[in-house]
Order: sequence, then structure tokens, then C-alpha cells
Amino acid sequence: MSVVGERLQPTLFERSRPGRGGDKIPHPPKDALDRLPASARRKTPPALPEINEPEVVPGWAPRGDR
Amino acid sequence: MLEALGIADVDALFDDIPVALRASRLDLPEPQPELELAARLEALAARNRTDLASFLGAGVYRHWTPPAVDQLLLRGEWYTAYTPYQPEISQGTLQSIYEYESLIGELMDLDVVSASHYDGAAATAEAALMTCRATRRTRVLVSRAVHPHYRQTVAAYFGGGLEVDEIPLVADGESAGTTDVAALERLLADPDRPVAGVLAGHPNFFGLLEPMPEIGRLAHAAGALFVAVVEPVSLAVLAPPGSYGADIAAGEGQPLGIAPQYGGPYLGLLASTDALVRQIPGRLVGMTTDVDGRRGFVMTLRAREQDIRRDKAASNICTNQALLALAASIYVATLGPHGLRDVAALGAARAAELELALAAVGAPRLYPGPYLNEFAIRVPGARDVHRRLLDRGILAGLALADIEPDDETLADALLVCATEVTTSDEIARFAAALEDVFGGRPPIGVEVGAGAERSERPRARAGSPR
Repeated sequence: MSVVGERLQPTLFERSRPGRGGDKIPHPPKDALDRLPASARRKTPPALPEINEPEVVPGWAPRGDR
Repeated sequence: MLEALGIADVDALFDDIPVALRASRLDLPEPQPELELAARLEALAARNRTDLASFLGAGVYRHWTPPAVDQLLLRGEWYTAYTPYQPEISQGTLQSIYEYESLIGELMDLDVVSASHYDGAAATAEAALMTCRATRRTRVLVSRAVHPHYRQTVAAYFGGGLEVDEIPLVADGESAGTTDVAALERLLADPDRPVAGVLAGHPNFFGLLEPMPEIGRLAHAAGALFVAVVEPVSLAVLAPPGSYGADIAAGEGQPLGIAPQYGGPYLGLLASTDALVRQIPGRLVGMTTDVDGRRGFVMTLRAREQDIRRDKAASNICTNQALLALAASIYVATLGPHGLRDVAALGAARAAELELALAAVGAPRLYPGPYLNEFAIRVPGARDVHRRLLDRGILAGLALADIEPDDETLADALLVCATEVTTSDEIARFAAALEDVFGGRPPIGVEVGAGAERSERPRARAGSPR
């Protein structure tokens, strides 16, 4: 019996498209982090998914009953 | 069933518990109709001060949460604290946990993430225990700048032959308020008491950035593991634990879309390198394929767990905070990497604005080192000033004497923070109220905008906090 597979949605990471999402809060000043030592700063952003809210929300809505 | 068990009544099941330790009759009020109970709870809730301009952080932070987070959490299908044992009927829940673990892994830059723990303190204590299991040593060193409640929780977990020693902080100079690495080196050098793990917070309890690469290097040179205790939103802009050699990272997940709540529930984050995957407690969910080659999600490496291995398990608490882990996933996915960076950077900008405003009215920073969005300020008579500011509608962070009453260096200090929800108007109101409490002039001895000397307030001045 196979009950998995077709009903699963792609993961958040598979649905990611560069440049999507964001713009939820005001942009900070460009120099907001300048007072932090360079050695303490993150070199590359975390590879989190980039998804628009209308695309991200339905992913959870029907999933709980599966 | 009683007959099958060969006992006369249910009370016989508790015969092994000494009578003196059993609960006597529970002193509870009579049951109330739901309508009346709801009214009573609403009346209690109305006593909460929601009108305050809050600068309180100290481990729990106010953030703006996209409405989608709380809306999705209302779906009853998610209402369980438990990871499901039957993958064939639980693919949705398992996928959500797999995604949570993957998202937190990216933030931490570490390989393995547990399905969650009760809170940041519990996750930190579990991390400390992991270092003992992995090294077969029995002593851990915890920086005094790790959250006091976390240190207390580690101490509570460490009974039965395990030892906790505290690493003191630098007392003065540019590094004041951070972990004393020279003292750490001395503590690590005792050949008769080898160290399993070194724990440091970043940012630490006072909001300061710690020399994490240096602490990790010293720990590893002594054969110990390095545990970073972190705040997740900061990881959008600060170097993540994996980048500076942390073997384990623990932290409080509340800032990721979970409202500040008195007493929780909260979300314990715990992550480690792949080398420690068999030592990490809690559920792990993996992606796999079924017999037909189709994708599925399952709990994995279950031989670590207490329902399989009993007393040899990596942990005997594996209840997870699934609903709050889901909140964190929705929050992170909705904001994305750029949104999360904006949250952290805007909080840093607001905090810098707060620092300037408070210094201008005579409350300079207590410690000079770099910080992200939280810092301690020097305020003579801090506890009294805190109370008087509350009367003026300002929640002026935490009087550090309330949480560290035995530390004289913290007697005249408030711990304050700002996040993206802090407004310039709130900052101006805080500064004006503080100036009012100070009596219109900065306390004598404080040089505004410079590293200030300890101040003494004149007793006679009107509006003096003492």
C-alpha cells in the first residue's frame, strides 16, 4: 500500500524562487549594521526559501489532515 | 482491568509512593459554567498592561508577526505536541517538522536539528548533557553571561555526578561584560577535571557579542565541545554557530513568530554537527522513499529515543513543541532571508537610536562592547527608577538587580532592548520620562556620551530616584 507520494506538496525549499517574498516590514537604514565588527557579521545570507505569501500559505492549509 | 491486574482499586497503583509524598485532597474551586469562566478569564486578561511602551527583552522579544502565522495555527489538524508514530497517516505533520528542522539548520549553519524542546533553557541543558555523553567527561563550563535562567536549568539537570563551573566575565575595559577567555583557559587547564563542554551565549545575556571563535578554539584545544547559545533572529545578520566551529547550538525560538507569553509555551531550538547526530535528543524527521520509490517523511534514528532504549536513551524528554515549531516555520518562510535580515537590522538601528537618546539624558551604556539590539545602561537606583517609569507608561526593560541580586556591579543597571516594532516616538517618551525621573538633569558624575564613571545621586534633589 502506498499512501504517500502524490498527495505531498513540494517542500518549502523546492518552491523557492530567488527574489520572492520580503517587503513585510520597513527597510532598515543602509548603515544599520555598520557598527558591528565585520568578523561578527554573517558572510552569506541563510539559504532560506524565498516565497510569496499567497504561495506559502496554502501549503500549510490542507496539509494537516494528510 | 482492576481484576486482571489483581488489585481492588485504583489507589493500589500508587502504593509504591510514600504516603507523605502523595497529594492530599486538591483544594480547587467548584466547577463553573464556561460562559462565567470565560468572563472571569477576560477580566483577568484586562489587568495586563498592554498600554506600555516596552523595552523589555532579556530572552523574550517582541516582533511583528505576519497574520498568516496565527491564522494557520488555528487549524485543528496541527493541535498536537507530539511527533506522530505512524507515518502512513501523518505525512503532513512529518513534512512540516522536516521543513522546520531544515529551516533552523540553515539559520544555524549546522547539520542536524531536533524536532524541538520545551524552551531555550531546556535545549541549553540538553546541549550540556550531550557534551558529557559525547566526551564521556562529567564537567561543563558555562559563561556567567549565559541567561541566568538557562544556567539555573543546566544546574538543575546536572545532578548525579555531573559538575557545572561558571566562567567569570571581564570586569572592565573594552571587553567588560563578556566571557573572560583568560579565565576560561585556566579552567580548561586542570588535568584532573577534564571539561566536556563550554557554553557561551551570543549575543550574551547583556546583549554583547562574544569572542565565539576564540572560545571555541580554546574548548577544542582542551578536547571539549563548544556550545553556542543563540537568538535566532540575530542569525540573519550575525555569523552562525556552524561558521565559528560550534559543535552544538541551542536557543529560544520565541522570536520566530511566537508572541511573548508569561511562562510560555515557548520553543527550544537544538542543533548539532553530523558527528553528534546519535547524541542529540528529541525526534528527528527525515525524507525517504516508499517501496514504490515515492517520497515520504519518517522519524529517523529512533534508537536514540527513550521508547526504544529506555535508560540508555539520548534523552527521556522527547515531547516536542510541534505547534510552535510550525509557527516558527511559517514565520521564517513568510519573511524569507531578506525579511529576516530586515527584522534584525531594523532592530539594530532602533537600538542605536535608543542608546543615543538614553545617553543624552544621563543613562549611558554599562559596557562598551559591540551589541546588536539589546544593551545594559547605567541608572543609579535602577529598581526604583524602573518602578517610577512604569507609572509613566514605560516598561524600562529589566532591572538587572532583580535577576542577579548578588552581583553588586549590576545594582545600578537596566537591560533594555529595541526591535523593529519599537518606534521613535516610544524612544522619545522613554528618554523624556527618564529625564523627568532624574529631575531634569543627568545624575552627577555621568558624562553624557562618554564612558561614564559610577555616579552618585544627591539625596536632596527633587525627583531623585532614591
